[in-house]
Amino acid sequence: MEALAVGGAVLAWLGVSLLSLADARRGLALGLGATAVGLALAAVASGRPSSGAVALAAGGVVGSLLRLRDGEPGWGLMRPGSTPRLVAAVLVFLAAVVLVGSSLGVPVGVARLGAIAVALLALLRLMTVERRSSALGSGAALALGLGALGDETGLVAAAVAVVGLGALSGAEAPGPST
Amino acid sequence: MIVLRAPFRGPLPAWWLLLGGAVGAAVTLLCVLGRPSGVLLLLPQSRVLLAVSALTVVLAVWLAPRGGRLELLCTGLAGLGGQAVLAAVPDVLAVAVLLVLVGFAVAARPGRRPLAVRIRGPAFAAALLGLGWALIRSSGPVWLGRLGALGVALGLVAACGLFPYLQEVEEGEPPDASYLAWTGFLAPALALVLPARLLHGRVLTADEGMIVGAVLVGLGVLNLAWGAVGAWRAASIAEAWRGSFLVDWGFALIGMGLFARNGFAAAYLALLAIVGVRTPLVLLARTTPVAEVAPGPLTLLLVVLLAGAAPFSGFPVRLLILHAATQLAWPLAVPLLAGMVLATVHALRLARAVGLPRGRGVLVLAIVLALSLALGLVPGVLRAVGGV
Repeated sequence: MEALAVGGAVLAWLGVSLLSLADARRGLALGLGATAVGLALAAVASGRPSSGAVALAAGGVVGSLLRLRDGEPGWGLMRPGSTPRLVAAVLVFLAAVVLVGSSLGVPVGVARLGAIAVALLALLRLMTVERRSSALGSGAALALGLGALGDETGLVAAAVAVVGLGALSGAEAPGPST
Repeated sequence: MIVLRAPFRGPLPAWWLLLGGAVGAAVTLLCVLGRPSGVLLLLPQSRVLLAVSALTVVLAVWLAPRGGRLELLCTGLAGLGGQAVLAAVPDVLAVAVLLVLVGFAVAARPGRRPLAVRIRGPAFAAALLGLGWALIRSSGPVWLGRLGALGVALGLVAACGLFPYLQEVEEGEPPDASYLAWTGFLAPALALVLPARLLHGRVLTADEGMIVGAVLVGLGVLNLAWGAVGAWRAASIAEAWRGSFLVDWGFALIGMGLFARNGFAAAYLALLAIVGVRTPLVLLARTTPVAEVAPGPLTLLLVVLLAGAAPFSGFPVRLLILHAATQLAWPLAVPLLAGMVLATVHALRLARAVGLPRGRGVLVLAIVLALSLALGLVPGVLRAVGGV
């Protein structure tokens, strides 16, 4: 179970790092999907109800697929000016380790580490982003991270939020697509 | 269909807005019914606030020009649903998650600032609230719990769009895309239940409770001062209105932070007045033409209301706050009294901004005055209904 929790947390951190380094639809979608699956694996390993974890993964995957339908085409990875985001991805992980601290030896602590890292990195991205599609992707990751810190209600709420955010249009024109 | 559409003549809104309105109405109904049980639980004070909010939506739709009423009704119902779900979900982490969703739904409304900018405040609030709550619940060292308590208190203030997290105010911005959406409509629902959730679950230690209380009282006093001066000195009338909201919110935060029965009652009444009195007055002021109006009896009445004097809604709030503050530490009454006096200065300016309503505006003003009188004259009844 510990290995599963560590694997899930690392996958979630890699996913949200990819999301924060991407500016186009494929990068955002893959990052979001990986984050959701990673957090769901860590949640299962930490003893949270599997129904909540399945809902989180399903919501994340649906949300990431919905992100593929609009926004800038391509991957948009590591564009000029993305070095601070890369540094932030590492620093945020270290900050999350400090916050989780002594409970890192158990699956619950590792799952919490992944969730805190996801929430913090998604928040940092959201505070600096200018594009609508990137904001929606980061917002979905923030919802996933916060939901993964909770019990079944939090996990299900995060799944609902990610699907809801996926329904909003990433095109720069206001309003969801028709 | 023709009969149904008669008051809403004009083009139908986009399908997603109609869907949002329907979902909002359904969610509100589920929250009121408490279904599914255990997942949604609406406290009595939230039921009262929801009823007042529904009245505000009706007044806003009534005031809107005929072509835009259906769109505003859908937006209002969606907002009501957002308010209901934020108030009814007992799990604070789930509330933080839903705050992200509601924040994006508001930020996606057409406005002058882009979505990526408008979402920053609600997202920051959700993160502070969620991470703060997670740290409080964690079994780590004591300082983590204290840090979490600080995060929860700051998250609540950020969600309300108060100082130091003030949004930009632009003249002529649609109400649902402006600061009004959070400060005047959605946030009171969250603010009303969050202290109750924190206290009733006995989640906070004494230290953490003290931190939450101190932050709320401190920022409450700051918002009171900032709002009173801002409403008086701000260049634009839109900023002056926002300042007047900060004054009301200042009282509400202080009331919550005192952790006393009378303090909570003051906060409850202040939040009801924000949604039921202040927000409709702002909407009314936007519909009346800007003109130099000679002060008459109506303006005088509005000055009394906006200054928080008896017999209107602001008076019992001030009385209860002073009572709660003097019970805790009497020197706290000194800055509060100074703030209360300072908060009367802007009343004439805002009363003139409301002007002399015509047509539908007259009925709206009559209803708002009646509600404010009810809050001012029979606060005990409303407290009993809300169980505060």
